[in-house]
Amino acid sequence: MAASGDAALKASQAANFDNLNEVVADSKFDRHLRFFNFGYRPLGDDEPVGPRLGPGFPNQDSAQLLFQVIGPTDLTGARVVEVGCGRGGNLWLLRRHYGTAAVVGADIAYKSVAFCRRSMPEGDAQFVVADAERVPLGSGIADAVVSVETSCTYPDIEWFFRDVARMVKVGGHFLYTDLLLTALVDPFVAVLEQLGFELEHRRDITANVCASRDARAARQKLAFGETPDADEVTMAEFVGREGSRLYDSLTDGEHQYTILRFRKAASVEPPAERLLAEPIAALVREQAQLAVELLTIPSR
Amino acid sequence: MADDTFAWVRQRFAEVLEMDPSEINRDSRLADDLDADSIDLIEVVNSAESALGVTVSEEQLYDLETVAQLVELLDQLRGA
Repeated sequence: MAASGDAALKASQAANFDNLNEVVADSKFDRHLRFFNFGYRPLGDDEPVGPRLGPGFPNQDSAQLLFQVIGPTDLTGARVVEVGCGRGGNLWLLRRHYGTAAVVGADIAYKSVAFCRRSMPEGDAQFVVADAERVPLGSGIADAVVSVETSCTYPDIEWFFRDVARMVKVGGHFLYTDLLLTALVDPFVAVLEQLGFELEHRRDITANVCASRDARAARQKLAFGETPDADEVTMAEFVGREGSRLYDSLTDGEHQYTILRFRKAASVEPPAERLLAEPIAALVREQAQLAVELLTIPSR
Repeated sequence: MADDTFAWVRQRFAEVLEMDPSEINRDSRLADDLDADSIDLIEVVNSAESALGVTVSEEQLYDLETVAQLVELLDQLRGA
């Protein structure tokens, strides 16, 4: 079961993002701000992939991150669940450009879910306030589960992986990306394989994400509007501005921003015993604690 | 396309992008010619909503490519 401190950590995480929603609500960009992730920028001769978006679409790099994660996966007619959906940017794009039949967003922050419900009131979009390690959705309901830059905040991530395996149909997909301690990536892949997934694609995109932050962080900060001086350090973390701890983790060699694309090959009865070894589980918890610490807005 | 709408849009873009209005014409492409990004465009559209009494949906805003398209959209919304 979950460690005793995890509930407090999750409450802090929810409060952090509820607070960020309050900051954004005061901004003239509020209704357009649908992403909190670091984005992806093609490098060298690489071209953007996925649907072409007009220049007025906010957070082009965040959209490109989603398109890179989806890759060639066909989501036409699919029911897609996003765990950690934030303000719903990914699901907004999926509904508009990928022909999904239904989308379901789950997020721990009530105010993010409320924003999603306001901005996507249509019947094919549903949103729930949920703990990512105890998602209150049925088994086998998803053709695909999407997770973008959110799992690094989960203190007991194995439960998230078990829930993903439970929700995805056989033949369905788990489309996953995050900035993780490099030492965690192989163990995470191993756990997901034990839960019935086959790894179809793995790519280190750290340089692309770093390029996005170099190009966009300062500009993106403007979209958050005016913040009290005491919040500047935290806001720099939220947007991954150069000099922030999270920006540094893109270049320290100890972290890797990785795309992992899985297909569920078989239905597996999850074992009673833990799949992640305790030293790895401890690293996961440390990573989540650090994320909460960095993203806590001190004046709220 | 109403000339007054174009004049208003050009002036507002000039202020937001810190350019001379004469550098902005109807066919200017927002990204390629003006180097405007979504934040710039939202600034202009937010101003237009207040000044012209219109509401621009996200879908309408996100597909805009040129100054002319924005002017036409604002004229449509104003019933010009």
